[in-house]
Amino acid sequence: MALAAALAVLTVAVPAAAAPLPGEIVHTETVSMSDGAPITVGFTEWPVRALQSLDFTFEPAGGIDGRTGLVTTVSPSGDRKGLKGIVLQRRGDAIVLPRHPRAKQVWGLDVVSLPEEGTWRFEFAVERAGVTSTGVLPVQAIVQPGPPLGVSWTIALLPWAPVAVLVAGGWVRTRTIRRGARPSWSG
Amino acid sequence: MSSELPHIPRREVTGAWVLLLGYATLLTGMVWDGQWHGDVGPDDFWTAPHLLLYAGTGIIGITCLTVVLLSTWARGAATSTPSVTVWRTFRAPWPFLVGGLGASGNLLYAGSDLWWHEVYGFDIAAGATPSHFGLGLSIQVEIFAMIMAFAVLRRTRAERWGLALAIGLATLGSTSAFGMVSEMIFEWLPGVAPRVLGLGAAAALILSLVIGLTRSWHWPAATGLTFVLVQGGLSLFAPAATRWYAEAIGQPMRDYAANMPQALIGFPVTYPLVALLAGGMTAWAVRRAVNPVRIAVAAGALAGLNTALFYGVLGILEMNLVVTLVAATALGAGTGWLGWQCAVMLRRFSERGLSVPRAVTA
Repeated sequence: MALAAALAVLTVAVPAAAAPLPGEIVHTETVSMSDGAPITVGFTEWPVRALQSLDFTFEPAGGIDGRTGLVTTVSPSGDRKGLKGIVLQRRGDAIVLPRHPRAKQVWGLDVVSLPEEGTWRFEFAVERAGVTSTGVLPVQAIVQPGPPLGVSWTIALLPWAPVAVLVAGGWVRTRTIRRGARPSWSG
Repeated sequence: MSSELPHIPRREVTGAWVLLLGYATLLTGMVWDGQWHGDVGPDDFWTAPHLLLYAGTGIIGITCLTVVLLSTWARGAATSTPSVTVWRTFRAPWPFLVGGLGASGNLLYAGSDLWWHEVYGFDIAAGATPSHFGLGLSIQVEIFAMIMAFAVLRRTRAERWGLALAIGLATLGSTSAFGMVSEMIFEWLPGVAPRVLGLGAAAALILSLVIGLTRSWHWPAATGLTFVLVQGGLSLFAPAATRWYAEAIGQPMRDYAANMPQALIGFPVTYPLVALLAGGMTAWAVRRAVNPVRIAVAAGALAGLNTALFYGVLGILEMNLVVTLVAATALGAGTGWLGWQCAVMLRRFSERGLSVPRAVTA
């Protein structure tokens, strides 16, 4: 009786499909697919800022078992490989979606960023039993955090300007030494 | 080299070996960090690979500071290594001044990198960041300092093997700065993989530098051996350490992370063959009294060619093989010439050790 009660509590307590990354997903979007089985896209940052890292989860209705997910990330300037990522498998321009490392029940991309500000297009294709369904999600990347990139680059490169001048000056000053050294194998 | 051994104070000899240890630590951390970024993804800024990287920088910085202070307070004859007097007080032998500046720059850019990752997160795939660019250049300065320190020595067989090991470490380690700089400079070239040009130039510069410094077939060939040790050792270490560390802190591996050693594709594994070939060319040229500058240029071109062929066959970079092959070979030849010129200057470091000690004021 006690065992049955405990099982009943467990059955109630654990939902059939736990939401991925509880406490981390702060926003979701639903993508309508051509076969009528939508994909829920989860974001760990919202709004998405250009250049700022975040995790995405992609959860097709009915789960990922037996399905292959592909997403082509088109940047605002038209780069069809806009999202780079470090260890990604690609089929043409499309990323073959991996399972999210901390939520293996769904597909996901961890520690990635959208490098350009503007409207991105995530073009989805889900393959199941030889049938492919498609859908598109526009993702708005707002202005990047921090100072403008030009300022960051200028500050980072500034210390190297005197180094370049010193090295160039030293190179010119030692020209006589270098030209005076007779090329030989001795020594 | 003259049969008379130049006098080099013990502090500089010990300092050179500790610089080598510091840079080996730094490079181990850097390669491990690369493997971690690919297979697992960072937990935060203070990961074990990052700590190892900065521990190496700390060793280099403290070593340089110690050698400069000991040189300043030393009694008797000043060091025979070309030195600079800084702020009319500190006597700094060049290799340790350069190493100290590189380590200081490294730590400053580490601070900016911490800020960068707090603001933007840890995605580093979208391209070089300003802080990573500064870190890469600072580390390259530390690499040059280590080579300079051993270029001064070269008196005993152990010291020459020290140079060979330093070169082996420097060859793999130079991929970072040279890769980033070439991506910045050559991005506009159609059909070319800029990174291939950078890595080819690094290989060419260092190989011809060794030929010019040692003027013997043994040491270019020996750097091929030390490179195998460095690349092989790190290829064994980094994936295992990444797996172990991920388990230790409860981080899962990524789905497509094959845990394959990234160090094997970070620089051509075929490079040791080029080093051996350069050794053979040197032996032939010594016998035939061929102009050594030609051999340095040819070795550089060969290093560039090898880099383009390796990545062309590997197919992981987008490039037109023929265009990249021609560009990498030409750049390799030019950098080979540059390496020879640098060697001419560095040889004067140890030759001057035979003459009266002098110091310049900065």
